[in-house]
Parts: sequence; C-alpha cells; structure tokens
Amino acid sequence: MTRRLLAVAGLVLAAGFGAAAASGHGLDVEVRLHSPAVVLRAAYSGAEAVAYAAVKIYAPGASTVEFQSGNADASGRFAFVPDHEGEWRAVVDDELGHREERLISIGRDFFAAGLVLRGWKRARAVQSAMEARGFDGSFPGLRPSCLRPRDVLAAAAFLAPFVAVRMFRP
Amino acid sequence: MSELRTRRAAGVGIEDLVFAYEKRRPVLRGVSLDIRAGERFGILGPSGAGKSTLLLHLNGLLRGEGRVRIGDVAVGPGTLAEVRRKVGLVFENPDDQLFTPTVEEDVAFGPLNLGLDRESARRRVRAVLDRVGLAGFEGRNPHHLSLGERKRAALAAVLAMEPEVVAFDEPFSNLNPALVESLTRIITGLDATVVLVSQQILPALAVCDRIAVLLEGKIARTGTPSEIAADRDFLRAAGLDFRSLLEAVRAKGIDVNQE
Repeated sequence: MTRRLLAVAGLVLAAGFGAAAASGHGLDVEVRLHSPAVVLRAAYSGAEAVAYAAVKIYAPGASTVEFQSGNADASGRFAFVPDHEGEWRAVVDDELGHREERLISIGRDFFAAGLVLRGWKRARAVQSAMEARGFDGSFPGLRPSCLRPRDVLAAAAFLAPFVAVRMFRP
Repeated sequence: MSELRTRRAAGVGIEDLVFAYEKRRPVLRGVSLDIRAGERFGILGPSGAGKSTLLLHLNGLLRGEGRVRIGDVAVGPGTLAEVRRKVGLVFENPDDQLFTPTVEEDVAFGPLNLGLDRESARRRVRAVLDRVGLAGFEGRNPHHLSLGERKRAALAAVLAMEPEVVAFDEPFSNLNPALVESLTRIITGLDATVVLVSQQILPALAVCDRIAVLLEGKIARTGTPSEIAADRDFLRAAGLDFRSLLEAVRAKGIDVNQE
C-alpha cells in the first residue's frame, strides 16, 4: 500500500515538474499576413520553436466548428487561407500545458493584395511566354489595324464639344 | 497525324551554370550538360530540383553564372533575338502561353514576330495546327478548349516558329494516358532537338534518348533510359521509382501485363 502511494506521489511530482518546466517559458504566436495566406509561428519565449503544436482555426462568428485544424511543422509554422473578411481566431496548443489564442483581423485589403499578387504573377508568366516567342513590344496581328483616318476624325468630332465646354465654360 | 518537321536541329551546351532567385539559396549549383543536335533529352527530378529554372536559361529568360550555348550561339544579352528564334519553349501551363482571342492569332504571334508576312503566317498556322491534330480550330477561343487541346495549341504556337530546339516544361502533367501517348508520338516525331523536363518518368523513358536526373540543383546522374531505369535504389532516392506503383497495382491481383 505504501509502495503504491509512493509511486502515485512520484508520478504526480514528475507531472508537476514537467508542467513547471513547460510553463517556465510562455508560448508566443507570431502572425504574418502573406496574402492570400496567414502564417502563424509558435515559439516559446526565447524563440524555441514549438514543433508540431496543435492548431485550430475558427472563422469569424464560429466558436465550435473549426475552419481548419492540424499541426504546425517542425519549425512551429502553420498556414491557412481565409476565405472572407472578419475576425479569425487561432488557438495554438503545445499539449504540454501551454495554449495561446490569437485574433486575426482580415480586411478587404488583404484579399485585394492577393488579387494584385496573383494578377502580377500571371502577367509575368504571360510576358515571359511572349518574350520566348520573340515579343519586342509590338503586337503584329493577322488582320490589318481597323483604325482608319476617318475613325480618328469621327472620334475627334465626338470629343470636340466636351473639350470646348471644359475650356471655354463661363 | 503527319510527322512534324522543323528546319534543323541544334545542340545545347551548358557549362557550370549557377543560379539563385535569392542570395545564398542557389537553385542551380554548377549544372553542366552537353545535348547533341537532334537528341531527345530528358531532365528528371523531384519538385523543386531546379528543372524549370534550368529550362528558362535556354532562351535567356533567366541568366545565371556560367555558359549556355545553342548551336554555336552563346546565350547572352546581345543574342536574345537569335536565341529565341532557335529555341521554342513550351510552358507547363498553356494558359500562360495563350493570350489572344483566337487560336489562329495565338499560333501566328511567333511567326509574325519573326517577320513573316500575314499570308505566310496564316499558311504556317494551318499547317502546324493540322500536324498537332487541331485543324479547324483556327477561330476557336483558346480558353474555351480542353486542357489537352490547349496544350497542343501551345505546342503549335511554338512549332510555328520552326525552332531548332524545342524545350518542354512538364509536358505530361495533368493529361490522361491517351493524351500522354498522343503527345509522346508528337514529340518523337519532331526532328528538332528536344529537351524536356518532367517529374513523370514513364513517358520520359518512352520518349528520350538520354536522361539526366537533377537533384538539389546538381546533375546526379546521366544515362540512357535503360541505365536510369535499371538503378532502382537511385530512383527511389530521387523520388522517381515507378515500379512501386506497379507493384501496388499487382498486389491487388491486377495483371498489368494483360493485353
């Protein structure tokens, strides 16, 4: 009986020491917005990465069903791609007694940045492909240009009254 | 489908090519290759090995340290126009290559840039579309075609320039077996020098005369398809072991050799 009591006491003490060792340094979560993704990095204060920390992501307004869940990588990193604006919530847990919650504000500008980035990447790819086919800035076409002198005259006649009003209004 | 003909073939020489997108993280770390004129040469390797980066050096879209030569022309700032006449680059994603409202205009873009008059360019477009099995597609919008058709349209756009070297970036990706087979026939029918980079070893083994395996920016091995395929330990280490998949199929009792 005494031996069993000692064993249990030993286990409790060991668990207490483990928790104390883990709680000796707090858990920090760094949030970086890399549109279209959000990248989290979990580290103990002192910068030691929290490898394979459990991460749960909740969409704005959702408190129980997570949008995404999984584990950070060996460097403590985890990424997700939000699909709408609002306050997103990330819960990082090292499963050793440390848990950290972060609110991440995603605005319209975040998605605009992603759109611009994707557009720029695509434009670069298309430009490379055009240059590979000898593109030098001019667009030779199979059909002759449709713009004839009388088209230019018609456009000038159409615009003239507006220019006149702009220049000579009282 | 008739055999594709280009005017002539040129060899490709690459010496000690080093390239990095970011300082201190080189993607290519001293690549040297000698590809003979008319040869079909495969460059295999896992994702991130530097295959596509290497390909972009062939027509000067990227410039690293070292030397790249197409035939007897060194790739450099002063020779880009000439080099791009010699090297046709077929991109992995045809949507990066096709940008005009009709297939005809897209395929004609290269020949017109070469200085061909409109009528000659039209003739060349018709001939090359016929050769890749897209006769009658002249007026179609490239972005309304299936992926296989878009890949062939992108190939036609390159072949219309009659290049001496045709470089393919992942030509077999996302294609069903019939389309892969059809593309291997087209590639084998080219009499230009072919350089293709791929993660898919089986079609590359079928098409290429020689294969180099690129690992972490370095050529790890060069050999004939038989030599490369025979070294299973090496293929496994390079992430290119195709037999394990066949074995998994056989393990389910399916006879893959059945006629």
